Amino acid sequence: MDALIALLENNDIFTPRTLLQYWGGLVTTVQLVFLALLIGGVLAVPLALMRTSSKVWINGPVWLFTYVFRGTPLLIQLYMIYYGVTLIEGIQESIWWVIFEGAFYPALIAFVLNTAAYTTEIFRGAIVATPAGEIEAAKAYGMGWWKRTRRIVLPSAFRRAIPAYSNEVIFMLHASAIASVVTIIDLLGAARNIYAQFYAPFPAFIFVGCIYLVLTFGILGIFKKIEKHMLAHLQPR
Amino acid sequence: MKKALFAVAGILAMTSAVQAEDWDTIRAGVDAPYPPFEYKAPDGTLTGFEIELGNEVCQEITGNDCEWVIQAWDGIIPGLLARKYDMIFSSMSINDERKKRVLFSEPYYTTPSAFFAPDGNNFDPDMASDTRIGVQRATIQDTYVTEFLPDAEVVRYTTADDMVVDLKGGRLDAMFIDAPVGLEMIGEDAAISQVGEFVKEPKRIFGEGVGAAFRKRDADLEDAVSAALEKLKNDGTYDRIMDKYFDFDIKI
Repeated sequence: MDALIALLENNDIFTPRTLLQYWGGLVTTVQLVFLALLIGGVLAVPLALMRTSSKVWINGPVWLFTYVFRGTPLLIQLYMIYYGVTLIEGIQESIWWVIFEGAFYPALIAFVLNTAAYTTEIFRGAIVATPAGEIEAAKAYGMGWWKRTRRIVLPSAFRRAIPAYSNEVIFMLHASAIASVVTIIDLLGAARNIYAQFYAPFPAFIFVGCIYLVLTFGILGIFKKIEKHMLAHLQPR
Repeated sequence: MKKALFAVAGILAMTSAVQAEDWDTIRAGVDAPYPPFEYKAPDGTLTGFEIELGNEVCQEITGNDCEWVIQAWDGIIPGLLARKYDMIFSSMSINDERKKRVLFSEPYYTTPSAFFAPDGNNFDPDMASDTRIGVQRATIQDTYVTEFLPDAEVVRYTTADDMVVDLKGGRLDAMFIDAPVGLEMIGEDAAISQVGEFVKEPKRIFGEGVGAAFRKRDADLEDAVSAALEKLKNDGTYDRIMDKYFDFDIKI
């Protein structure tokens, strides 16, 4: 312990100034991931319902969307949305430039669309797996499609989706590290700046790796709580 | 026993021969192509700013052109130490790490850095507060902007290409980059041009420039080359060669 304290006191890298840079990065990463998951999750519910439709004109476009966004690397999607839009003629003069001038919103848009695609497929799987008996019972009670979906299908589907969705949340956290390639100073961006400043890749990246570990640990804890609450009937006794 | 004696004698003879060398040809190691400093002309001959300048230097000392040896960059110091050539004349920046291995001449050129901005946005490096300036992360330009323009927002890029895309796309007010690279990258783009003077100072950040490198024991050759460079810089030969390859001053 004394050795650890001595190490912390005698280093040039983890000064209050660099720790502040890491803190700024942490705030940006958490904002980006939280907003992306929130908006992406909200979008995914109607999309998942559309995806389970038997009508091709409802189902098809959603299938195409999830196919494209799950079928291409997130890095390419980010490049297209960040750098690609600047090539659109006249965008700099249009109202859209307010959104696309900085790096935060283009990155957020890319992350939202990406996570929405994955979450849509997770929800779709859970919806399709609804036992036929539950739906039959709901029909026997005279519930229409909307009431049935709202009261029976979605609540049980959400429960079934929780374990798979917790994976998606962790993937999103780690995927957010690529925001640093479009000049955003997120956690990894801060680490890269500190690395460049001190030519010390090891301490800079190990420290930031530990922060990601702690964040993941927190996410796991939250999902454990949720699972305990919502999936109590599936817990081993 | 006899064999060993012969071997020792042979080694002694070789070393004395090396010491007696009076440089009637200088073999110069160069990493080509690296235009416009060294590259092959269409007829296959080696040419470029450093080739012409190096030949002038060798002419001063020996009366002959240098004997050029092409060597890839990553092996250029080992090649010198292994006596494949006697001098490196290949855009090698002088720094402390290299000084541990080799002996440098006086610097003979330095490339300046420069600001580039889209025309009409009135960017001024002296009044740069609240502007967004792009640099390549961990370059000397990054160090300079961070230190001297604290009121500007410094946007750090991994590659220069991405930075140019953002400058053209209107996300940056200016970029600060090695001048020859910047001029090359904006190319024929009429909408972007250099702003303000070339920046070469302070030396602490921009380095001491580019020098010829020698084995540490060849201090006499280093002296001769430094003296020859000094003469060429003063008698107009240097300027004549420089004007042929550059639109701006790289003399140091």
